Amino acid sequence: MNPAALDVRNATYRYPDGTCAIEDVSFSIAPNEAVALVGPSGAGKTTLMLCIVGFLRLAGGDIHVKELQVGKKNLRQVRRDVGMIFQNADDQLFMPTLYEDVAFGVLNRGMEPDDLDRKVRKALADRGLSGLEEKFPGHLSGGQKRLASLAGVLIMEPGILLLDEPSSNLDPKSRRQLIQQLDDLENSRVLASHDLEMVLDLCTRVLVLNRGRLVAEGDPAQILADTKLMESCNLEVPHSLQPHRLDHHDTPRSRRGFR
Amino acid sequence: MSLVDASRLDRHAYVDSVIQRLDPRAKVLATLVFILAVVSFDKYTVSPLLPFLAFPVLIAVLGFVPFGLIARRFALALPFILLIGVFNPLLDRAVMVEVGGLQVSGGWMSFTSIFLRGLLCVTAGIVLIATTSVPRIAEALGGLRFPRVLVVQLLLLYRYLFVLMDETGRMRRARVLRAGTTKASIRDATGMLTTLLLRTVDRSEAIWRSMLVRGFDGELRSPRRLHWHFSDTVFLVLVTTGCVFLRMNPITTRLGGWILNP
Repeated sequence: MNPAALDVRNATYRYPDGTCAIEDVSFSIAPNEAVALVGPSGAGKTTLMLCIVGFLRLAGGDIHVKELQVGKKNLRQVRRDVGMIFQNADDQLFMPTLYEDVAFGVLNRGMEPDDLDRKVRKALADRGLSGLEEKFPGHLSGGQKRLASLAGVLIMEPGILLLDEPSSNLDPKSRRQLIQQLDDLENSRVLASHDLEMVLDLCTRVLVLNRGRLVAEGDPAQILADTKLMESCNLEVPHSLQPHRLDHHDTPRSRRGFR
Repeated sequence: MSLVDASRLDRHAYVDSVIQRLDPRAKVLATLVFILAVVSFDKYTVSPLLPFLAFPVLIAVLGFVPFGLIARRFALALPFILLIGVFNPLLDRAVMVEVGGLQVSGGWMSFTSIFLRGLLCVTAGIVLIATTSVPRIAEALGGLRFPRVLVVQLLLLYRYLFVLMDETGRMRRARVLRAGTTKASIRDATGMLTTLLLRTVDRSEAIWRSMLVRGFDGELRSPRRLHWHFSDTVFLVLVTTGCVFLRMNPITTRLGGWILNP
């Protein structure tokens, strides 16, 4: 049997002031599986991701990445296997040109310049960013920045990809493009998002976090259609799972006309 | 100042010209030689410094760097330069030279010398950045075996400036929209500065994390390899020879002597 790509066991994390951000969370992710982490703001989604890559130390429980325990000793190896896309793409693009930014991770792994050039150009081409190599990343559009940060992480061929709100601040076309790109990936993926339609498009399993606790887990179409559960977690059933209701409050303002 | 303005100086580094094509190490070394030559004059030297202006002017012309841009950047450094020598005319009142019946004290001479040296060194630095870019300068310093920690600090500081300006721009816009004016009281400004610092620290931490996730180990590696060509040697030799010649032969003093005593 293949070992789990990611195994989180009874993970608990407390802020320095003692507030519990994550409490006794357990789940595991199989190789190539795409799992969504959903929950209201402040539920602990980003905190959990930061624990997985070892930026925050657990107060209890443990996390294993391909059987390797996340801890001070193993951080380099863990981060070789886990790529993370942060919520704000601007924080992820820090080099003076797009080419150098995408090359950053593989250069740190000691890749030879000849292989590097071929690999960087391919990574950019795969994300539809060819021709922008010498561009200052700060001058890219929001969608391009997101794809560029994805290219910078995917070039390192991580086994697990953590995506923190990847569709935030994207226009509908860029969002659609991103969904297509993410759908083509074969890595194990953990997607933290409020974009529940995106979760339905990309994930085969959903984990619902509320106030740091894992409150539900299962098939996205079933879990996200559970009105009671969604309301208890300050979430809404995604439009595509809602039965069509045409009462006054559900009719868009544009169709109601002036009164 | 927006992020675009901040990067304008750097953007000239990507223009294709004979200066931009030079190896960054040659330009860094040439600038160091130039600065050493300029600061090696004694404190009352004025006229022998003037021919040194040719260096930044030539590099700017050949590298297509607009003089207006250099002047604006120099204006930022000007108050600091003036502050260094501002008390000299008060402290050193002994008459040193007489120009057309006007007596000039040693204090005014040293003040002018400080201003000229500041002008030369700062413009040389600006022109170096404009034709090379900060990341390339850092690569050159790395190639010249400067301590790694200093090179990384330089690059991180450079990145932090962008973060700082980005956040400043956002806060300024938000404030103008609500206050309706760009003017802020000292109390408001203090509060904004504190918030700005906290926000930039937060963002710097986020950038730091994204660097660590991608295997950063304290060394910033460049995908480019530095190549030293014959033209780099020629450039460095020309600049060094020119600086040594001007340092040893104060041509303006001699020129003045010939004019006054033909």
